[in-house]
Amino acid sequence: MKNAFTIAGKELRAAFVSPIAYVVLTGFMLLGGWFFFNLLNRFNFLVQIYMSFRSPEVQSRLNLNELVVAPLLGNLSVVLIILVPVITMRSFAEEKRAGTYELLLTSPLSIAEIVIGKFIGVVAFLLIMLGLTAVYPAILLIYGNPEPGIIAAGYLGLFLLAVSFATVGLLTSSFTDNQIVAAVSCLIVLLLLYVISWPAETAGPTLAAVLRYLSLTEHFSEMVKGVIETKDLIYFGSVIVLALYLTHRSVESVRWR
Amino acid sequence: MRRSQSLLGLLGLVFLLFAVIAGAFTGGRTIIDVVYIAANGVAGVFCLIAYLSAGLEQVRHVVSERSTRYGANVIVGSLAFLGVLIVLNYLGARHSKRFDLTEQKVYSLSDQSVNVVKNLENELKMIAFVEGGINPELRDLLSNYARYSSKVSYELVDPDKQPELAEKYQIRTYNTVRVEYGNESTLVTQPTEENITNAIIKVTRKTRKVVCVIEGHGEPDLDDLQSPKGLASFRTALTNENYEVKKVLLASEPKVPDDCSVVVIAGPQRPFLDHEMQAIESYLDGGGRLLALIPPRTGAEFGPVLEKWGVKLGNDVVVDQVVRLFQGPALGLTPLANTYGFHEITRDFKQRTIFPMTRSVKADAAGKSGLTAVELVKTSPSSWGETDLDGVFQRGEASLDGSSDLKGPVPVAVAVEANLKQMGKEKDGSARLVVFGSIEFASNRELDGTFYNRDLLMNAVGWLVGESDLVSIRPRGIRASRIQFTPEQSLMTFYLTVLLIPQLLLIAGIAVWWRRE
Repeated sequence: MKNAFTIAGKELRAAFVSPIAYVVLTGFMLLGGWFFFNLLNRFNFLVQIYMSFRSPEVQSRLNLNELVVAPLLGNLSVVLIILVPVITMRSFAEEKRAGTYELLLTSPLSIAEIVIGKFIGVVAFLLIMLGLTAVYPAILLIYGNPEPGIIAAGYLGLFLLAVSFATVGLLTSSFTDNQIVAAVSCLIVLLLLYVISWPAETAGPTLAAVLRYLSLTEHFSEMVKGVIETKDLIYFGSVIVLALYLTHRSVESVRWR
Repeated sequence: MRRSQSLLGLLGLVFLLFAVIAGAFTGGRTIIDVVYIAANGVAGVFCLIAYLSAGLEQVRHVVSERSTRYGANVIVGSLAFLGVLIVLNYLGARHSKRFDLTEQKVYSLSDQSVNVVKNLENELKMIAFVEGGINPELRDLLSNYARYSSKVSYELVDPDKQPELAEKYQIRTYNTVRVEYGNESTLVTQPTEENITNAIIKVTRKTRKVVCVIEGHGEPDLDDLQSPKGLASFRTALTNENYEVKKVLLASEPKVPDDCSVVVIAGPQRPFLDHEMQAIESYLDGGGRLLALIPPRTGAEFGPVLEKWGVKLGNDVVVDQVVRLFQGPALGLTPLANTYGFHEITRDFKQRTIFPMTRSVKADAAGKSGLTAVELVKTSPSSWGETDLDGVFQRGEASLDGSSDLKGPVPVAVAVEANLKQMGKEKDGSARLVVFGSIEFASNRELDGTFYNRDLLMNAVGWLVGESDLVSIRPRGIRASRIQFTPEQSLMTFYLTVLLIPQLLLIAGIAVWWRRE
């Protein structure tokens, strides 16, 4: 496990000496800030409108959780679909292109340590990324009174979503030595998992249930609402474990191909 | 093996894959689906055969290669791993634990609902008729019921796609939920948790409440489905809510039958006999429940009786000529109402109702002890109670006459709760009355029409039979929250979130880049 952390540290350092990390972080926070500020403005606008209409019933339904936090997390999840493949595309593809892959594989590290190490590196980067966005709920909690439980559940959902994205990115990166191919194929898989439930409303009941279950959005949106179900945790866990397992197999295949 | 042969193998797999996907999604229902699936399937099989027949020798060679063996191992291993995960997810989905982190437990059922659902003995089925078959909130609500009991099942149906089902269950509006339990069923038109849970209580109740409708005085027929003035819709509405409807010929009975939970007097055209009136009075004295629909120019014998119970029938007819503007040439004898008194029957009731040919009905409990009378519905301020009945019905004219007519808003329905002890009767308990000044209010045309007469009438019946075992569940929502900024703080938020943080990250990036260069 110590080796895995060494790899993770190396990955993280590599990210921060390359411009990618800064481009991703700057872009993410720029978009995040823009979403947050505008949602907040709209919320204040609605409050003022309904105050001037004197409709206490509508006013009593206006809350920061539904009108600011939920759409913010939803928008960030879409941005993550685009940015996470960019973060993970390097992990194996870059090593293959640069020719350091063989060195890595012939080192005394086990393949599991390599995969887990890279995984931890990416997760650490995601934690930094999502950690920076904590400034938004912090502002809400300082100046307003949203329900913290819902925010916590939503953030847990966003984190699990990001980690699932990252493992898919690691998998596609392990297939190829071309970073563009790695990023684009990851993007496509993620988008597919995001929209796979769209035909569910019209499909037969069994197929609909399966499609809905496969969709990342369904599980994520439950958590954004403030509901944590063990089945959602199991789903995210399964995506992560399966992608890591397949990545392991894919990396290992170099040895016998 | 030559490259072109591996190409054949790969193509074969692609063809088969797309055949399977097309099959799973279309089910091969149309000719196009069948052609597509068949073409891909045949092409796939053909390619694979070509690939394999390129030389069994070569295939055998490939199979015996080390990499093929490893590859097969990986595929089998991965499939097994996937299988384990699928089983795990299947079990996890079936035995899921749920943690509702909202402060008011918005997405969980209240304890009352959970109790009701857990005590079910037979299968309970809920069918929600929603626009397009899609309504996430209602689906969430119904799935919550199913979560607590395996006996509960639900489905969402698009009434436009399955009109035969909507017709069969008499669905009139979107978002109606039919609750079925054995042979019993009921419709919920405003599917809140409270209403659905109460519907479940109603259909699972062992004994049914009996609604006795008095006949024999030229009342509109309870079985008359065809004529707009018939009462068959009222009967259906009652049956749908799990009441038993019984016709009673009071003239041939010594008293109101004992099994009546509520007695309905539905627009008598001829006067009640003396002994019928006595039967009704002694029924009320004993804690009876009476729904009286008494239109203008009828039921004079009820005047004095109802007055004792705090209800004053006006000898008039309500005219609203503002409404007439939209209705063409008419006197304006079909006033609309959307002003409701504060009462359990009209709680949360905001819709419009229509009262064709109605008299005024006023609450008149002042000075009478033990009576609480509430005027349920009032027509618009532009309406009035016209006392010149001859003028209206013979000469066809009506005008507001300040001295004798009742100026609007005119009350047209009253609900009375009577505490028998306080009234000086011997019995404990209470009697309840609801009096409407119109019978057409409850006719086929108005119950099935665009107004909400049905809901108001059924609320009244529900209150009369005093469904004390029904629960009340406060609607819950995420707590309203506010945020307060001074303009400076708002500006600071903008600087911090949109400008400063991204700017610092950008500068850090440039610094790193500059050092590396």
